[in-house]
Amino acid sequence: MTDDGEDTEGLAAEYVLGSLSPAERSEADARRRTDTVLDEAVKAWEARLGTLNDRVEGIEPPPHLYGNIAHQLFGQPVDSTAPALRLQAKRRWRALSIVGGSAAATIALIVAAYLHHLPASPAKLVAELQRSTSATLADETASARAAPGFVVSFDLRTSTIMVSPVAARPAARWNYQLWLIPHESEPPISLGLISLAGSTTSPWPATCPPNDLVRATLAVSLEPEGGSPNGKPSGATVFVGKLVQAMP
Amino acid sequence: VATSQTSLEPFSVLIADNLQAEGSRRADPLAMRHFSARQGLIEALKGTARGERAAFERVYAATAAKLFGIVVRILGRRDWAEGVLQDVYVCVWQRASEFDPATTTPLSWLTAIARKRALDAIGPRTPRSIDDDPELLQPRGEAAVDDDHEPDEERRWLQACLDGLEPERRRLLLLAYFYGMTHEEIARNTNRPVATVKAWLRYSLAELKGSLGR
Repeated sequence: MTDDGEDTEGLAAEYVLGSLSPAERSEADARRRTDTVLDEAVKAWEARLGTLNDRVEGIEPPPHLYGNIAHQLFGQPVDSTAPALRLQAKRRWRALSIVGGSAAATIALIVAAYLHHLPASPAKLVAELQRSTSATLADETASARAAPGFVVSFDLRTSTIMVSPVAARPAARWNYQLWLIPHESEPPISLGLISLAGSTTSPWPATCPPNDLVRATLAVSLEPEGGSPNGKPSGATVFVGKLVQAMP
Repeated sequence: VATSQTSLEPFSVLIADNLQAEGSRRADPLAMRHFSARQGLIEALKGTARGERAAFERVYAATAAKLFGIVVRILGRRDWAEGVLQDVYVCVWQRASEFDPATTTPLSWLTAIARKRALDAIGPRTPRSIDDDPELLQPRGEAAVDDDHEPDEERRWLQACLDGLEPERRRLLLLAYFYGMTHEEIARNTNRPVATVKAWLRYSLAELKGSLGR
């Protein structure tokens, strides 16, 4: 509660603003459940300040997160979880009519259709990510420099990405983060942090049609623990490579 | 197989290289990522309330990046933000029937859940300054506004009201909103007494409400 505890309006404003201490917040939470005046005031403040969120740039969550959510809610094994945009064939056209007003939605669904049904689409794309020469560490041997840091493959039939560390080594206090750069006009898309423990397979978020991925650039940047703080590559680019179609 | 791009170039250079090799380009990919027109989201939330997983997937695909951005700002750590985002969508699945399009927009409803979860999860963190994120101090260009935004007048009106605040008081208000900083944290962050911070914020909020006229 605030100093002037009777001031419901001020309490609601500070609650929505986020400036209450944890103790004050939980007190306000408890009061909201029974005090409809406070609850209504909170909702009004949420509406007043809500448009400020236009200023917050989105950050792509790591691709595995939807799998974790589905696992928690539906008990599916994480590996078999559909990526977020994948729709089952039977539902596709019904879904399309539901969201028919949105051109963006339509395009997203077409992308999902591409991924699963276009025979002309490449089935598998691979890239070897080589170390940038100026990022070579002084203590590395020539043979270590020659080996790729990571091998990345996109399996477009199963909508998965597999990342395998080859010669990349752990960097103290830093994480490796993988980025996809399909277009000049598009900011790099985070594909998540890379584990050095072994190959990892994760669902493909399906934000690009497969034909756009051929020759798209993949890059790995060094980021603080937990990943880039701003959703964009913030550290040095240490490995880069281009996706090419794998031999069938 | 692949490639050898060999310098520590900024991403823009890498992209330019990539483009030169590729020639001209196709449809606007940004459109694909904004799967969030309001009507589509309303339908998807209704479907979620009926227990349709495909509808829930659409809600996630359309809004996860936005909510993750909001949660990361508040918590300042991506690893914590991932756990919170998971809680947010579990809550969305469980409480979708409470969404009422007559009283709120999909994004406002989802944002309120995400902000609440993030604010409840705040732990110890390093002090930050809003100057680290200059874009938060300015309204975004029209093109960058979310698909599911409030009517334009509302946004402009809020901005005009914010502009009416003294710059330093506006800064404190935004520090609290975007980073979820408590009075005490703002006081430490800006070297001001807690009582001053509290009084300024209360004053600014009252001004804002008065100017918005509702």
